[in-house]
Amino acid sequence: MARRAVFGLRSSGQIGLFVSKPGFDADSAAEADLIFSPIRSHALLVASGFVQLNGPGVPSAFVPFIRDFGVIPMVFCGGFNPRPTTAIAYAAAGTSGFNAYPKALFDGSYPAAGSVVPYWAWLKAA
Amino acid sequence: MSRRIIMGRSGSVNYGLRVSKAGYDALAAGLDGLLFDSDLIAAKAFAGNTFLTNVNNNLGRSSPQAPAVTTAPHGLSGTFIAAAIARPGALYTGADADRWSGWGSGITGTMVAAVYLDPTKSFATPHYYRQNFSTGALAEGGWTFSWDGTNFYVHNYCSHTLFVRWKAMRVG
Repeated sequence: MARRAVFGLRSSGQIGLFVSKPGFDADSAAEADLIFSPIRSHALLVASGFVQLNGPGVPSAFVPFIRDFGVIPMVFCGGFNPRPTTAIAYAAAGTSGFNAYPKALFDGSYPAAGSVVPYWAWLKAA
Repeated sequence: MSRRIIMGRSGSVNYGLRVSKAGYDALAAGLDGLLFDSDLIAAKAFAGNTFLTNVNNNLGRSSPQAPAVTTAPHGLSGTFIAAAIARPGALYTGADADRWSGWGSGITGTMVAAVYLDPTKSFATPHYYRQNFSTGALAEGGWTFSWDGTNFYVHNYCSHTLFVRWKAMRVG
């Protein structure tokens, strides 16, 4: 029976936590067949939710991350369904949080102004 | 007290690794109560980088519908999903960060489409506009992001470079 998880020393001499895909032995599986390993980075969703946009050039309420990460996460915000959308938003992000703004169209209108848009932010673990 | 981590075997059922949220039992919790489940494929953010695009020099000319296409080798193999955001490129110092490509009798020159209040950190997701004016003129703006097995591609309809930040997730 395949070992799905190894915590400690693998036969290869690697030490850490290794979790394999179903059907693969966590002790010997290649990196591509591991769901979790200390070798590859993993996506860390550091924030998600909804933010209320204000009018042109007016920042939304500041959305804080759970802490200051020291690096700036990638923040996606706006109407993602359907895409592409003309109700566009953008995020001005720092290491501890972000403000969201509506983005203008060619005619100077701001279709996203005043709307509530989803956001998500993630980091790549080192 | 709920079990937050289960690793190995429980009764007659084999488990790899389950980690639950606080207040949930890792053995009994449904998916919404789990932070990690080895029966599901967790995304690996295995690569990320930045690059600078070309600028669209077709503004106000005869072919605004032909954007500047930037090809950036990603060096990745296998199946992945990539996501990107962009802000005005390092070479861009003005306040107007996104412009339209104008073409036709109804449009001359460039048209301001947006202002990024802080061009050093304001990132927008890919977006693309195309407008048919009543005069029959066309205008396009924004940018798109795509990839194949070798390269990323950015179609840039803006009058400035874009500083693109991307990350790739392996999901299979």
